[in-house]
Amino acid sequence: MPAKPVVAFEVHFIGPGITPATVPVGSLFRSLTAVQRLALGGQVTVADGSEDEEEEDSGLVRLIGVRKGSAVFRCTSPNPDLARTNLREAGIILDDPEKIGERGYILSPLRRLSETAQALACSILIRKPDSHNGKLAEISADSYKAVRDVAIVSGETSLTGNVQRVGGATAKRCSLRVAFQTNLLYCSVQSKKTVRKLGQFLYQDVVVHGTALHLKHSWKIVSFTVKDVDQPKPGSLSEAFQAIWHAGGKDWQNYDDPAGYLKESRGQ
Amino acid sequence: MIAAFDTNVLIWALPYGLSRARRRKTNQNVADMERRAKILLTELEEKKARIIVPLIAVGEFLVGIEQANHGAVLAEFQKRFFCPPYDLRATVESARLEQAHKGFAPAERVERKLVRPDAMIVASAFVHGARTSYSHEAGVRKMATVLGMNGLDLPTHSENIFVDHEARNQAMDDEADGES
Repeated sequence: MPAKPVVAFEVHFIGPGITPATVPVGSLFRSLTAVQRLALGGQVTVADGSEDEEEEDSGLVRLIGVRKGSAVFRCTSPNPDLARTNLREAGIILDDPEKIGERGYILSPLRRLSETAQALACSILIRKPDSHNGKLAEISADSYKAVRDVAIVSGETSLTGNVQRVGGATAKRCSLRVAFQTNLLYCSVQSKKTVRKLGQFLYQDVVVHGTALHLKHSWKIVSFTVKDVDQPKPGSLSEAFQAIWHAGGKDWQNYDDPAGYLKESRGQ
Repeated sequence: MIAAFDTNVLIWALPYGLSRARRRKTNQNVADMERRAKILLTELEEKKARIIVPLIAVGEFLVGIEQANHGAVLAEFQKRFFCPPYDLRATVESARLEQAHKGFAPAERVERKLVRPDAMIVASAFVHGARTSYSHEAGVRKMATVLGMNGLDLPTHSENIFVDHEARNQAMDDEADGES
């Protein structure tokens, strides 16, 4: 006889009038998926990039016949201790966003949970089961913004990558294989024109220009919005320098001592 | 392999050829520098290296070029190389390099006025993925090592004797043409 699953943690939706029947199934699904990602501590690879697909949530289909009271959802996990540790770490970051360190993975699920908290006018409490002081993390509508404002800096930059996917039914997105991380980098794309341009470079190396959000302690890119894309075509290096020479690089021959002139001009 | 070029490498990599005879006032061994640059380009091509030319270096390169040609030269660089900007993360790394530079041995230091632009070039290359940085300046190579990159000079010879031989012959031919 299989062992009864252990309850690893509980997710409570706490707010006026919140019951299991008032939580739309879509919101519940997204929230529990986000909690799962927090519980796994960033070890999950988002299957098929589905995190990037926003689904319409009509709110028409909901749970029913669930015990009345707060909307409490009990979850099990193959490794309950690890899940609780990861969730507790997320809770510590929520209390002090400076402690985010390298754990940029919490941002995406946190955004989802804050959106749900905002939409349902509730807070989402994750806690150890059967415990009065077992709070692991509590997410409110402001939680994502609070962490983002402290832990994230943004700036314009360019990066190279290989285009893996482009498009999206409800949002303009692409994914790039980049050298600085093993997972794909999921990006927003600013315009349809750029999406079309990216589409022409599917499975090819490109340079994308845009706005990056970085974790300020580790400089890991947690979000990138592509504003433009181009594709260097170096040919051979000799050809490249021939082309630069003919475009005007030959002006350097006017200096008796090019290296000396460079040094002199840099010092000015 | 992702490698970055400092501005001095860009200058020596140009195909001066016959025009070299005009440049007699320099203390540097021009023919030798061009030969070494040629070896470098050949070796990097063989390794199918991806080349980064930080925009700061491109900007310095433009200083030696007529203004009317700036747009065309910039377009060629962008068309053929990844030319990353000096961005937010590079700002932090270049500050780190400037701080580290204070601890360099005297022989490894760059001139004070050049510390900042050199640090900006190395930092831009590093944060955009370069793990090898080519420069003829010892101080710039030292900066690269601070960030964990390989800081390399233009090669004096090629391990491939055919490349070495060809570069030497080319240099001698050009020299002879320049004399005549």
